[in-house]
Amino acid sequence: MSGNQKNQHWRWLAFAAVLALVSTGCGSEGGGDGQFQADSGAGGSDGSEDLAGEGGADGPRAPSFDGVSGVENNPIEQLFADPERNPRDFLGADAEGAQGYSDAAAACYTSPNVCGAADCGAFASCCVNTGACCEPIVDNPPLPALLDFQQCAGQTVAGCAQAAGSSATTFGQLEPVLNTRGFVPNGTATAEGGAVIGDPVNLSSERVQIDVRFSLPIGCNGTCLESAGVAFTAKEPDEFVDAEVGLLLSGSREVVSLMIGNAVADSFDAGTDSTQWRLILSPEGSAQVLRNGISQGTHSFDPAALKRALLVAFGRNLGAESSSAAIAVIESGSSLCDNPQAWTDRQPISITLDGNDVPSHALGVGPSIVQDGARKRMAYEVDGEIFISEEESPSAFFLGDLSPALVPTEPYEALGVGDPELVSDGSVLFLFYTARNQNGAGSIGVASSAQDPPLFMKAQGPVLVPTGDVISYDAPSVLYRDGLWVLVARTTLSSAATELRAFYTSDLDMGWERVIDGGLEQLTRVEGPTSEITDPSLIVHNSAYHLYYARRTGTRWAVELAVSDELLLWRAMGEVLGGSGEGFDSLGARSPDAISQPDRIELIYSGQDGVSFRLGTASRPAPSDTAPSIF
Amino acid sequence: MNRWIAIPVVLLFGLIGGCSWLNAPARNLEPPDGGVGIELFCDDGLDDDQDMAFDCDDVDCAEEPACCERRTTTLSEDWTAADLSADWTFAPTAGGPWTPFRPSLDGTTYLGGFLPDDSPRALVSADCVSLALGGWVNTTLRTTDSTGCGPSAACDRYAGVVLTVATDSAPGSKLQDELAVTLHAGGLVLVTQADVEVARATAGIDENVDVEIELRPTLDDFNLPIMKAHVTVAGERVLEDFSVAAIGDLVTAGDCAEIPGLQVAAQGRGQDVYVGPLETAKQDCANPSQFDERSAILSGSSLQLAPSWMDAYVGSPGLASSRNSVSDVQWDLIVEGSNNPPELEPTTHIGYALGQARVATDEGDDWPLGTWESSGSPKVGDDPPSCLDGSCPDNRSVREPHLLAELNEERELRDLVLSFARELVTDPSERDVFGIQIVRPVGGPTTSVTLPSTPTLSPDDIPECVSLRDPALIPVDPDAQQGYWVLFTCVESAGAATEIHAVRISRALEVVQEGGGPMRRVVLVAGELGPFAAAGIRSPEPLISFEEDGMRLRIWFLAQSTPGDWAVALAEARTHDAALLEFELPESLPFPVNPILSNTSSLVRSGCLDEECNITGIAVTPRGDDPSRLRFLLARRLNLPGGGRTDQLIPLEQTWRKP
Repeated sequence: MSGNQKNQHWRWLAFAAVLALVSTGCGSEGGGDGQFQADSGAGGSDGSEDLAGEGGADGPRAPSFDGVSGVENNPIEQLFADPERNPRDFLGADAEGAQGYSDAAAACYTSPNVCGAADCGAFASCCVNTGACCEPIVDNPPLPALLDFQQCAGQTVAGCAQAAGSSATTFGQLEPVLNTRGFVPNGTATAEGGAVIGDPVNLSSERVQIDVRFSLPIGCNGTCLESAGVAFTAKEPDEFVDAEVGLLLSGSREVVSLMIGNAVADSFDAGTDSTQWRLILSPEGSAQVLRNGISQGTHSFDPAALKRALLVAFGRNLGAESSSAAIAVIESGSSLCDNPQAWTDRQPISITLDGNDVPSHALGVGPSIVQDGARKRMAYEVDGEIFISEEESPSAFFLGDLSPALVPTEPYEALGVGDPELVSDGSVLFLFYTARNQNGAGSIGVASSAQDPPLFMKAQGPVLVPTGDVISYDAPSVLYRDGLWVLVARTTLSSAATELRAFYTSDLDMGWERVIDGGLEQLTRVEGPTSEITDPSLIVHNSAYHLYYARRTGTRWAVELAVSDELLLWRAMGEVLGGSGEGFDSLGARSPDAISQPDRIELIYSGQDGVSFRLGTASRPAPSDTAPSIF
Repeated sequence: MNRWIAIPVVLLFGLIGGCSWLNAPARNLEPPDGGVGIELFCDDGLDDDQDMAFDCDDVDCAEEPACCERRTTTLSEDWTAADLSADWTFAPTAGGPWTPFRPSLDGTTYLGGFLPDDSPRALVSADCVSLALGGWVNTTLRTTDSTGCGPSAACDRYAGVVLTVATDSAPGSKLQDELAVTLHAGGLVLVTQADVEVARATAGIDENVDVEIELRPTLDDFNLPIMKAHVTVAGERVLEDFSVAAIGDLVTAGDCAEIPGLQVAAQGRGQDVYVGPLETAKQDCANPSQFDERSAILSGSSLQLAPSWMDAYVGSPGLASSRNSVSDVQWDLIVEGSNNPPELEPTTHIGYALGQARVATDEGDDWPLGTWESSGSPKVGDDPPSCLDGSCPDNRSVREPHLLAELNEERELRDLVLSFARELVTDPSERDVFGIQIVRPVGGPTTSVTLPSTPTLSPDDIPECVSLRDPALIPVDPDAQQGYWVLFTCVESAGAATEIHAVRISRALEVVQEGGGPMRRVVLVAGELGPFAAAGIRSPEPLISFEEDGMRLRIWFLAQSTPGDWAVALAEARTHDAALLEFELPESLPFPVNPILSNTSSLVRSGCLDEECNITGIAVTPRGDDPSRLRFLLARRLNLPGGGRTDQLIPLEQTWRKP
């Protein structure tokens, strides 16, 4: 046992006790049905048997890792998303066994709250959608770290903010006043007064902590109009500040209220002038209030409506400035978190040739994007042929010519080639694709190019062909990192059910091994005609696997996400990108393909508007180097 | 477990369906089947009235939504018009003009010959067809092709009917089909969604193939409203209870602004397969979402109320209607108001008072704007009720009034019973704690009301509630001889309320005791109603009717899916034994397509600055001259140009006839 592991041991024992409680009911017995076998043949045929899944899930659900044998039946040390980071080093000796590891994951994946707790830091997957692993914004933070209004007595609000390296714009009929009590908003009975502080904040991707100390009004009776508050609002203040989420001191009621949606969500005794209030807003939509360091409760708010939230200090005063309600001090901090629903800049992609739009290519299907050196290239299918374009700007790509990069030439490609997947190992660009034979059955082919512009040469035959109970493979997603190749493809079984399966290899010439006994198949299995899951896109981001895929429910497509540390035990995040309500993707989104960038995830996809599917792009902030480390 | 989820959806819908008869045409009051009463629930698999007829087989259920067969045609197309482009969009619009053949087969005109045959083509209805509350799509398909394609395989020549949210298709592609029934050359009939087969049938060559798609709303396992379909082909049911789409995903524009729906289309490719006359209908038995607007939008000033106590806010109306000896209809209206805006509530205590107004109109007339007899100053409460400068610390708020009209056989006013929330203050810093006051008689607008020293019901009586708000009375018998139930919002904490309770009140306006405390029932719980009520409920507005065969109770109430987004929702209940009402309230269940009015409804947004309006209350009463007509009063608060806010009371009506 390493020294680090020793240090973690006692922590793990306590953690295990908690897990024993929260994991009650999580299946942990048995090692699967014993029918699984790894594929060992070159060429990558899949000789394994069917998984006993329960059908496609409707959104995220509590994990049930019945088949823990996956942990012991796969080379888990090789499969970790980050080879430098082993969750077992965090969990300690008690999690050395497969059972302990699975139980720990099952317990942590129970809910975002549990996953976001420090004890679940072992799993990098818990960085997603939990408000954990956030990265402090230190360069040009949108909000001032400290506004000590009492120290600014006599100054202007703007001057005080400027001295703190920030900005403030006042509003209201009367100018707010800074005196020894602090910031007196100076609102009236007919109009609120106050100031907008700092720059807009994206509460759907940033975790914000606001610390406030109020100066309680003096001599306020049961009906006085003395109030002061700090809140985020979605629009410029007018007579009434729409406090979407924030804290408001009511002098007459002697309470501090948590405001959500411009209504009181909860109220707490106002205490004294020295009472410290803290509001923690997490991008998954939780607002926690602490009073003198003690939690007063957590409520839900809608972060999606606050992507450009303004911080306002506001209130009303009818009494003398020397006895008014005021804000003594505001401290704030913000950090960037991984909220998988916080997409911005959703827009259609244009594809040009010699400066002219090629409309039919903007309707291309199954897009794949890759960072190929300094360039980004995007592949897509049009009429059974694959084309490759190059990025000009995030939503504009251009073609060198109208020649396809890959066309069907082989008997196993009789019905065409599609579902392109571009992946680079640093020197060679690979193009994986679905090849459909004359019966419509798919197999996975690959071509490669080591030149620029790429000129692809096909391998001698498909690298993954259906055998046994599998009648088709399609929609491959391939990941390369540190000598390991991982492939996820949709698998169609003879029963007509489909599921996503994962494979790996360290040598493309040696064929693919299937990841067996894991939870992916159960999570993604679909058996009826009213739903469909396809188009996987696997990336590693912030030491975890992120698997995006498309789900059709009825006619509507949406992109969902599942995350994992080792390809076996998955946290389902549910829908992360659906219809926007307007424009090219008004009704839905499918065919996601993601790439991991520093502190960002970029996505291309096909937007659904009821008439056609059109290529589009979106991105979201996501810290890329914040998963806990013990090294 | 969520109580809703535990209830089978079919039963749920049956319960709901069994209580909706808004906008229903008049029916004979006699049990039509000779049974001992009526089939209470029309989809529960039981013979409630023991007449040997179950559910929809019982004629008692003929008008209920679960069984309703009454249709109002919304689209009827026989393809004989010279120019079809007035009512139909030729899709794909980007693919150049095309003209379908319209052959006559056996004297009936068919649409066919979708040429050129290189890709699918469709005629998409210019108007959306409302279907969310139930409806039907009927057509006849026919193929004359006996060669080339077999009866078991899809063919590249086909024609059929499509339900879609799209108004166009891309060249070379079919319409996005929420549901489609397509006859292929050779005789194969495919039912598809997203172009994926969900059912099939086989048809004869050169024979008419009648197709019916029947659509009904229901709730899914997550209490989300969805639309399900039954599909019948040539008299054979080929698909049952198929989920077509979430109600929220339907079209809400154009003709579907009030009742969501879909575009209907005739789609095909090539020739020798035809679509015959096409007809759609909506269910005509229940439509709580549809209101008739009436003239005379009221404000505090049009009610002749003194601005000194209500110039900043007027809302939360209570409404009663009766006949009087002078005119045809007498209207009593009571509102809450304040000289300070309610937006200041989170900041400080705001005081409210109640004012009454009365007007008489001829039968069927709209309200006048300026001739209301008014209390002028508050009927109950202080003038002004609110003082931000601390000058009236002893004032106490009275809020959220409700009027129950007790009528004689001529529908003349016997008594008005007024209930309202009355502020109780034991500590000056603890404002906004309310109890419930019930007062009878009330008299006219100028009659003063003296309040007893203690309220009828206080939070001390009900430990679960820190404050009691929004009271509303229903009688337990037609003449209220045995008293009332008072429904109210139970405020449990500083946040939004999530429960509506009821307490039994005697004829003498005293709380009926049971087991050492008030006889109390929980009526509605937000967490059990569905997403539309996820963030809270309040303000019940109940209406009860006593019939020979039982009792029906409908409760309109405000619900919010997210904080601040209040909408009007409806729950309904019925019981076979009205005598039980003295002891029990039947369980109320939500209408499947809630809310019935929201801030996004055109009726609510109409005339609002930037189309931003907030619903603040609703009142309802049967009209004195025609109890089958319900008069609603919707209170909304809207922004004024240049700043500030004001309030409006909008009169609406619905038809309701007794079964």
